[in-house]
Amino acid sequence: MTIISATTTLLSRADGSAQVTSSDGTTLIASVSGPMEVRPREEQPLRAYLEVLVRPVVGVAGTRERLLESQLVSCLTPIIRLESYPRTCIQVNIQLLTHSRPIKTSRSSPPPPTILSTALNASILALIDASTALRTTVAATDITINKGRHTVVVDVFSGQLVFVDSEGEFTHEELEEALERGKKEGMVRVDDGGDVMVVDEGGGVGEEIRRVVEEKVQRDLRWKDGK
Amino acid sequence: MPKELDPSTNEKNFILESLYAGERLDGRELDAFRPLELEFGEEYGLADVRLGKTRVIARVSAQVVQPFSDRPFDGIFTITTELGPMASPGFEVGRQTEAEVLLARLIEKSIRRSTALDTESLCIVAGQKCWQVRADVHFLNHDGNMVDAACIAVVAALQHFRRPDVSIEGETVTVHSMTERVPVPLSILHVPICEGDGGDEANVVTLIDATLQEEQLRDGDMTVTMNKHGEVCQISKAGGVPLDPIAMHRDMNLAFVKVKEITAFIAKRLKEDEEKRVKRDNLLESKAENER
Amino acid sequence: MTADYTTSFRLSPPTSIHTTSEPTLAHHLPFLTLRNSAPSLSTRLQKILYLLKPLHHPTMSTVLLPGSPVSLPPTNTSVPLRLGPGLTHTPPSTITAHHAGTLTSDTRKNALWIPNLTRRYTPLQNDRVICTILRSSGEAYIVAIPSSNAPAPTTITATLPHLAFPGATKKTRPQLSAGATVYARISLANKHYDPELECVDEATGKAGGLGELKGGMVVGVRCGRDWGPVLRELGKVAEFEVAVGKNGRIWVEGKDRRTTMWVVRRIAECDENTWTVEEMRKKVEATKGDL
Repeated sequence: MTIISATTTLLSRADGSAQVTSSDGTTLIASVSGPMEVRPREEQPLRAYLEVLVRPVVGVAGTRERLLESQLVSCLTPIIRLESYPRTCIQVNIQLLTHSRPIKTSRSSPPPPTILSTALNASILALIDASTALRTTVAATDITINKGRHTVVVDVFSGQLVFVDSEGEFTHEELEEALERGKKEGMVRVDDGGDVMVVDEGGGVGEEIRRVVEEKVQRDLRWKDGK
Repeated sequence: MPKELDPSTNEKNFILESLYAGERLDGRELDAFRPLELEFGEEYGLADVRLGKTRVIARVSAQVVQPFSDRPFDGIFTITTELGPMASPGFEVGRQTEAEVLLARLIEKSIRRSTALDTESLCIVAGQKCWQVRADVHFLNHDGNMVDAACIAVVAALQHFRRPDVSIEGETVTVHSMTERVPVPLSILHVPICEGDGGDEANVVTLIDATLQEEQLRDGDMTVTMNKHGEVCQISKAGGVPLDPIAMHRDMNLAFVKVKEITAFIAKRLKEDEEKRVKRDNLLESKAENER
Repeated sequence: MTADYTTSFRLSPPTSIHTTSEPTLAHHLPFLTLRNSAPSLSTRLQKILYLLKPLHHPTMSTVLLPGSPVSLPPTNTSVPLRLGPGLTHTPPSTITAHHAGTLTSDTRKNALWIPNLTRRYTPLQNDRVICTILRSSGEAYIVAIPSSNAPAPTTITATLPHLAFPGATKKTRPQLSAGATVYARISLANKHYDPELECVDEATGKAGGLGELKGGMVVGVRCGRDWGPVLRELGKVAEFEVAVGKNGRIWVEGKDRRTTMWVVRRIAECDENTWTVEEMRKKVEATKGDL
């Protein structure tokens, strides 16, 4: 799975936003609001309350969306520096625009890709766009091996596994292989000094995220050029 | 949840003073719309409307259901509008504000109750099977005048939508897939377009397509829905400053001009999208032939 | 160079820093506890690295992603390194970025930060902000510090004591009504409390430009940009008074309504398209006929 197109800063009322289209045909918009006022019952004295809301394009949010929300919360919680924003709320909104609903699959085919990976990549871009303090940048990829589908989320610098969601039938070796491939797809290329190298050839999802962020930064800081 | 902050006294005084002098903050004429953008999705029935910074998406979908027992010859058409926190953090999930209810009703009145969609044509087998067409409206960015943007989005999405073709043989109903048979467009009777006006204070200034800031400062508003034949579908004026009939008449005439413009704009965009699709499909077909 | 980095203070000897974080977790936030330091000094990102020399960084133009390690050549110097927005220090000597941007440094002050444009303002001590009075309660005004683009509900509530005006007593204090715009200095900012404001210049005890802003118009822009050069361009052709709030609000009052409108529109356009000073100059030339 790759990111086909991604744009940031498209909604004026949100702190950060990103629209991402993946090669599996999913298009969605993620927006980030916060740190902002929190509902009293969700207030936490030492950290921000992270709220993720997913909305389908047809109908109202149901169990599928609830599941996705909880997966996103568990992915994003260790990444956002929630303790930098005590007594506030950080809200991540996901609005699906197009996505092919999983069709009934035969027993021999792998489960259809989920929108989790696209949603996560869009959330990360929106969080970066909002300048929310993050511990690191992560990238998510869908990997299908035989009858198993794996959503692998890795740290783009170390390749460390952050989250994995697998479905279908797979062996332990296949899972290992998926993790290895996810790591390769998600990592950005780094030279020995620890600085990110500029690579022209197309890379995986991690490289794609870096390219989008670079574009955003250049756009935001263009006012400095005149100096 | 955070509330929208009211404009400060300085902002209020300056904006009002400028309006009395006939100037708007964004440099528009009092009776001008913000730049309108309309895009269609890859799938049928997805319309993405941008009115200045306001952005609304409408998605039309259809499924076969059983008709209501009291209306066996009619299909079902529903519109869902829900203001989510993406549009503005001030909107909370699951708790409708008064403004939200008004907005939903207005869109419902403008499109569904004005019978823009011919529900009889959605009937497949009387009393047994009919199409249920639903329009889901998603508000992505709130910078005023959501009613107009939503209305344009729904109307455009309805016209863009194609439902799968059905054939009936005796008792069996077959729904053909999009690739098997050319999908059919919905039967649209007329195209209603909303037109939001905001009035300001005693010496009434009437604005068209108010931004959020202008909406916060207005003393009253009126929404007129019309189609391009000049037929008024609904007028809604929930409180606010009184309007004298002559001014109202003048506003209606102005609205008519705008409605014609917007209808033409939607038609133009639909045609462009159609041409794009035909071109792409032809390309695909010719490729298939070459392979053979 | 803009004064973008946050206030920090020197710590000596280094033993006065101790960290509660586990040193093995590279990305874990170090909770720096500063012994014997006054609580009012606690502002965002008081991470101090000592033993570092004026900087010559090889990758100044590279875009950093959150989590990017920032490598520095450590050498002895008497000036402590100050880390500003966007950087986190993990003891002993790891520095990582926590938002995206390009690394910027001030060699003279030995400061390092990642500038960026945001829509939300984070209160910092000594920042001057443009805020709106919500109501008066007991001994203080409750004030909203709005961020950036008007009128997003991104408000921070702060208190402005009735007596925090120059020479104010219970009888002579200024009476501000709800909706009034005030130019104030943040006297206390801490992520754990609501900020406190005052309208007194600390050095002179006088107003020093702070206080209620009457008339004019407030325009919302993104935070983090240096508006000086752009406003000077506008000042070459238009006559106006201006106050820039760090919270992304600029108050403008021209010699007449037309001038105010002209300036406000130029500022809004400039923010929307992130114009350079050069582009602004062109636009000023092109539109000065409207004045």
